[in-house]
Amino acid sequence: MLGELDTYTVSQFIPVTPEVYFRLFERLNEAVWPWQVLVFAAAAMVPILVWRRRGGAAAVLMALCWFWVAAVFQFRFHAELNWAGPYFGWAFLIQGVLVLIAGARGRLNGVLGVRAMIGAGIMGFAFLLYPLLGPLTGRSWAGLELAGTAPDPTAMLILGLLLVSLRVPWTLVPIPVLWCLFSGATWWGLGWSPGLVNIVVVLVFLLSLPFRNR
Amino acid sequence: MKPVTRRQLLEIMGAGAVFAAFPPLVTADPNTSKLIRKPIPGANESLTVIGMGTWQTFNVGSDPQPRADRTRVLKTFFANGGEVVDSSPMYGSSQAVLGHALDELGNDGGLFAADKVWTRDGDATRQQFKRTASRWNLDTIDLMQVHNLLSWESHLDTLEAMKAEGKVRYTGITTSHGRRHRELEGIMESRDIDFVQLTYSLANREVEQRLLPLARDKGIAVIANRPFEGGRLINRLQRRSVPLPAWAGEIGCDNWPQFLLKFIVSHPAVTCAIPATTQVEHMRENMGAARGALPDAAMRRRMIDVLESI
Repeated sequence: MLGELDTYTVSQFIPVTPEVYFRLFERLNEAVWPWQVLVFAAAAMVPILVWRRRGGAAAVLMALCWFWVAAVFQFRFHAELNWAGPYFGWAFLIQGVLVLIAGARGRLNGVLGVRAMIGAGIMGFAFLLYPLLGPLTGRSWAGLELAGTAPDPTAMLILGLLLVSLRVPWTLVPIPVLWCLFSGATWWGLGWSPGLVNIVVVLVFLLSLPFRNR
Repeated sequence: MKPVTRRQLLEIMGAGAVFAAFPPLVTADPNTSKLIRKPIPGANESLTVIGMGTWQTFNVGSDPQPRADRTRVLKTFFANGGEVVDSSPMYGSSQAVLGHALDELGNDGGLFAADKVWTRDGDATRQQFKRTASRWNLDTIDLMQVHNLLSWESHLDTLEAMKAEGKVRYTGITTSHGRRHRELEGIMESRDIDFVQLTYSLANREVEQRLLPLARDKGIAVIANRPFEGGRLINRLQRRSVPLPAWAGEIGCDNWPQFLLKFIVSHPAVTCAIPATTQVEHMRENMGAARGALPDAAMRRRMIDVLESI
C-alpha cells in the first residue's frame, strides 16, 4: 500500500502508542530467547572477520542478521502493528541478499583510515551503547535492542561496516539509511528522544563519506 | 421471555428524547440523566453522541495483556451506553483486537460498527470489506466509509451498490486533512452519502464554516474525529493547570474531556464524536459527556472564549 503515502502526515505513520512499541521489543526478546545471544555473538564476529579480510564470511553472518530481523521482527511482530512492516520485511531480505553479493565480490574487506575509524566507532556504538539507551532512559531491560535481532542496531552496524571497506558498496546504503531515518522519526513521534540517534548515525555516516581509507 | 438487548434498552431510554438543536440548558446529574442521542438524518435510528475511535489505542497486536486491557475499555464503553466504534484497515491490528474483545464480551447487538475502505485499488472494495468484517468477527459492518478520500469514486460506487444489496447499512467518507476539505465538500454535494467523518474540536473549528452547514443541509450524519487533537489539547490544558470553569457544571461537565466533547456534540450538525483511549477511567470520563445537558449557542461561545484565553 505504499501508493497511499502521499495522503498522510508523518505522525500517521506511527499507529501505536509508545507503551505498545516499547513492549514490542520485550515480546521480541521473549519469543527468541536465547537465540538473540547467539545471533548477537555472530554479529559481533562481523567486524573481526572484516578486518581479517574475510569479507565473505562476514557477509554471511551479516546477511543472517538481516534475514533474522526480516523474518522475526518485521514479518512476525512489526507487521502486526504497522502496515509498513511487511514492506520493511522485504527490504531487509533484499538487503541480506545484497550483503551476500557484496561479500562474494570481495567488497566487504576492512582497511584502515579515518573513515574506517568512524565506521568502527559506529559499530561499537551499535553493539554496546545503543542497547543501553533504552534501559538507561526508563525502558525495560527486557526490551534490550541487540544488534542482529533488533533492527536499529543491525542497521547501524552495517552502516559502520560500509565505512571500513576501501570503497563503499553503494548498493548496501539505501535500505539501512531509510530504516534509520524511519526509526528515528518513529521514536521521535513516540516521544523517546534517544531514538533520534538513528538519524545522527545516518548523518555521521554521510559526513564520513568524503574521507578516504587506505 | 426473550431478554431485552442493550440496543433495545437504549432505544426505550431514548424514546421521545428526539434531539433538538441547542436544547435549553438544564442542570442534570450526569450519572443518572439519560443518554444524549442524535438521529441519523433520513433514517429511523439514533446514536449515542459519544462513540469510540481506535487509532493507535487498539493496535496492540497479539499481546494477551494489552488485549485484555482493551477488552475492559470496550466493556466500559458499552456499559456506559456507547455504540459507535470506528476503525480502519490502516490501524494495524485494531480490527482484530476489536474482534477479540467483542468475542470476549459477547456482542449483544448494541454495537454500531464503523470501518473504512483504505486502498488505492478501486476494485478491491468488496474484498477489503470482507476481510474487515472477518477481523471484527461480524457478518456485516453498519457503516463503511472511504478512508481519507482514497480512490473515493470507485469505492463509493461499490459501497452504494453494497448498500442496495443490504450488505452495508450506511456509506460515508472520511478525512483528517484540512487541505482535502474542498474535495470533501464536492463529494458531499454530488454524492448520496449517509455519513461524513471529519476533524472537529474546540481548537479546530474550520469545518463550522462550510462542511457542517452543508452536512445539515444535505442530511448527512457527521462523525467528529480527533476531538482532543490527538491528545495535545488535553495535554496543553493539563500542562498549564487550567482550572475547569465553574459554570461547566451547568452542562454536566466534571472534567476537561467532557467539556471538550460536549462542545463538539452540541453542534447541531454533529451526530457523534469518537475519542480514543487506552484507559478505563478515561473511557468513563469520555462517556460522561453523553449525559446531562448540552451547551446552547451562548454557552458554546463562552467555551470558545475559555480556550482562546489560554
